[in-house]
Amino acid sequence: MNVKLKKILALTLSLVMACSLCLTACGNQEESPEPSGETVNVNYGLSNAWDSLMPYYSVSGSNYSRIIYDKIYDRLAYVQADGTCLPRGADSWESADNGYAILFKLNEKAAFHDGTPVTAQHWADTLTLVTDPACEVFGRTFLSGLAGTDDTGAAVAGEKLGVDVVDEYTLKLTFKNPVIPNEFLVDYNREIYVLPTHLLAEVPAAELMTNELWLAPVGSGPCKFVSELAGSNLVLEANENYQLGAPGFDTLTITVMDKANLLTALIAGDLDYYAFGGSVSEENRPIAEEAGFTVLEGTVPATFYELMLNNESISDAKTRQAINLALDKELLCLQSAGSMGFVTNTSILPGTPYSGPAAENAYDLQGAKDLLAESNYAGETLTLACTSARASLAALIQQNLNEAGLNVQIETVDSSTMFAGMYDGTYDMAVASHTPTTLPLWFTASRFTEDNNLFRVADLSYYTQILDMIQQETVEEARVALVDEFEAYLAQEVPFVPLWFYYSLHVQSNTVTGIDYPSSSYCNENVWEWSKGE
Amino acid sequence: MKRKQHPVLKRLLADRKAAFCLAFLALEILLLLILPLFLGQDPNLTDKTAGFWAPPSSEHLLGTDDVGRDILARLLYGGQISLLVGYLSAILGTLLGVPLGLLAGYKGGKWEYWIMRACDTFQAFPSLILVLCLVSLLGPSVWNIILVQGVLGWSSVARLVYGSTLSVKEKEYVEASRALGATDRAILFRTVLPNVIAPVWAAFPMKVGRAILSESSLSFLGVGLRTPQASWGNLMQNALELITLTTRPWAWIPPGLCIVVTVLALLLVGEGLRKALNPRGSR
Repeated sequence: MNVKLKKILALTLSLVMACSLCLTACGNQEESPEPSGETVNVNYGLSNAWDSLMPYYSVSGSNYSRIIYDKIYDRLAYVQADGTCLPRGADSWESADNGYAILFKLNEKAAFHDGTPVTAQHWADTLTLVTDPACEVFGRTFLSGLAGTDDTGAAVAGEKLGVDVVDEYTLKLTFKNPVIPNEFLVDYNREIYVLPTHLLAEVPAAELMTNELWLAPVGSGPCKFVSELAGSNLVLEANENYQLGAPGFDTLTITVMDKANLLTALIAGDLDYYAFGGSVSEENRPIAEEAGFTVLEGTVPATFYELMLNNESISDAKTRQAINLALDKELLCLQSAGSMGFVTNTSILPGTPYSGPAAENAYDLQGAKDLLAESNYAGETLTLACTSARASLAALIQQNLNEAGLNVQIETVDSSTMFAGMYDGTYDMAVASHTPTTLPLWFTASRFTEDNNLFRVADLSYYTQILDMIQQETVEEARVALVDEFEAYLAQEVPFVPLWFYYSLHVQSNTVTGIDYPSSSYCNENVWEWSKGE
Repeated sequence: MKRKQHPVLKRLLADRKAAFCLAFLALEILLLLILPLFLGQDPNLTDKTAGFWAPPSSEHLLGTDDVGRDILARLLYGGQISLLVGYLSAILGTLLGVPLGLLAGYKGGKWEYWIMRACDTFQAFPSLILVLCLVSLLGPSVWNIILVQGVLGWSSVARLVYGSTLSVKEKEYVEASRALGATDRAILFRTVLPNVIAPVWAAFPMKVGRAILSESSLSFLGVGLRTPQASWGNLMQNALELITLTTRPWAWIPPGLCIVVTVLALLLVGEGLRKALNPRGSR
């Protein structure tokens, strides 16, 4: 083939390719087909997969699983972003037995997806089943407050379990210590679901978790199970008989996709909404707004950031205080949260009776150096663990600590490895974030126990004592005083470093109305109030 | 007296594209080593006055990243790491692959069976996934990436050498060496090796290019180097954020260009070497 012919051929091929490209681009993009002709489908994005459809068998115990269970199964209440609780499975609740019990009046219209009414007996049977030591529940410590259970939440043989059926629609829960009903719901509502125990009568407790029912679960939540592609796709349909009203759509398709793609998928129209609450970073806010979406600012801080410390390897309180002083929290907060964050020296949410005055940036480099010189720190390299999403933040923390004279090495790992590594002492520090609640001990109560000594504190006796005292105190003034005393101790010991709170931004759906975006931080969504036009 | 140029080098330098790319690669290494000395910027230090995501300015020619670090400094230091990983991985893979390929081709029998089946196994497995798993197990560090990529990169070299050895070992000069009483080792390394090494040389630059891309992919996926160490791959990670992709081109175009241009130059040098080593075949 001569050169001229080659050139002509190449030119012709290029032209054909260019033309085909243009024709493809000019063609009308076909709308993605709905599941069936008249079906109104809500496409819902989730950045991580759920791990089981049995709500008491979640290995991770993650919010991604909880937000799925929230749709299929019913809970006692609906917790709003500000910590107030609205009726859901229960119509009302009240304290009884001098604060040692709560009476829940259940909604009489509630029914399972197979039509069976939900009664107090179902709730009682569910709690009896999951506290049964033979039942392989993952993480039932939230039930350890119930009378008749041990520290792990398992029923103690020979003791009466604090679960009673008062009448068909009244459930009574009795606790070891006095409990404020609203605080109980804020803390544990996301963990307690009613199971269809009438379908499980013949199932031994030991086989409950592996029962086939969980492959196509029957719940009493606002959505019914249709199909699941484990780890990637879940199709639900609206429960038309839900006691609080039928969702305003036919099907809800939940798809797992990378976090970075959620906003682009929403803009492209592939999603109607994504969990949690259509959260968007301040940086991406203009992109969402330019694409025609309204961005809502959260009214209550939705995330709490902390630097976890290993109190065993960083055994001297002066070293931990030095770490606290060496961190330029304003700068770190700016890098991570932009203008939507504010620094804190406590895990207690501002605006509650237990919160003190607004925190100031305690950054004091010289103070940190002085404390370090007095401490037992001998120049060893400390390991700072973080997830890849927080590698930049960790790099900034590393610089801060290096300036004070601390040697730090960063390990980028996944979230579960990070927590496991803190738990077993592999890492010395880790950056983590959590969803706060309005309760004063939402963060500390579960982190200073023998079972979950996450900060590896050598002597937990003070923590155990003060936490018990605070939990048993029902008079607010006295409780505030105890919390203040505990906070002063935390400031002295620095078992962890509180960093900042972050207000979420929520991209509002252009296709689905009625979404209560901020309340998704409590892992519940008012699906029964959602509506998508046909 | 004028020194006589090696014929292969002469033919390589006569290929204008390959010669240009070779000069470019040499210059690139030189610049990556020298420029950081004059830049006066720490690649891992935040410039609090410039702030996060500062656009290019006289202070920071390529702007700053999400931690307020100078992107040009990180590009230069990152380039050193990327090229180090690329060249050393390729060298390690070649050093392992050549003797194994020689043994399999020359010895035959069980040697051939086991080495070539191992080769098949290594090549059948998606290499990036294997590298990803091993690096995750060993932990993120430059040396671990080099080790894993080098060890996993032997199979392609071995297959190349194996094929050539099969035909070379039947040649008369090998028979003659054997008849003269030369040991297997002497035949392998003095007689066979010089006659099978040409395609390995030609494939070497491409292997370097692949290693650079592989490191970039690992760093892009967040399992490459230890934070805050820079590489071209983890600089590209900035592009994961939609806002950066659309409004901060200075953060990801330079590392992207560096990767593309370097790999392209390596490929063209490889192509030039192939032609230079086998002038008849290239016609």
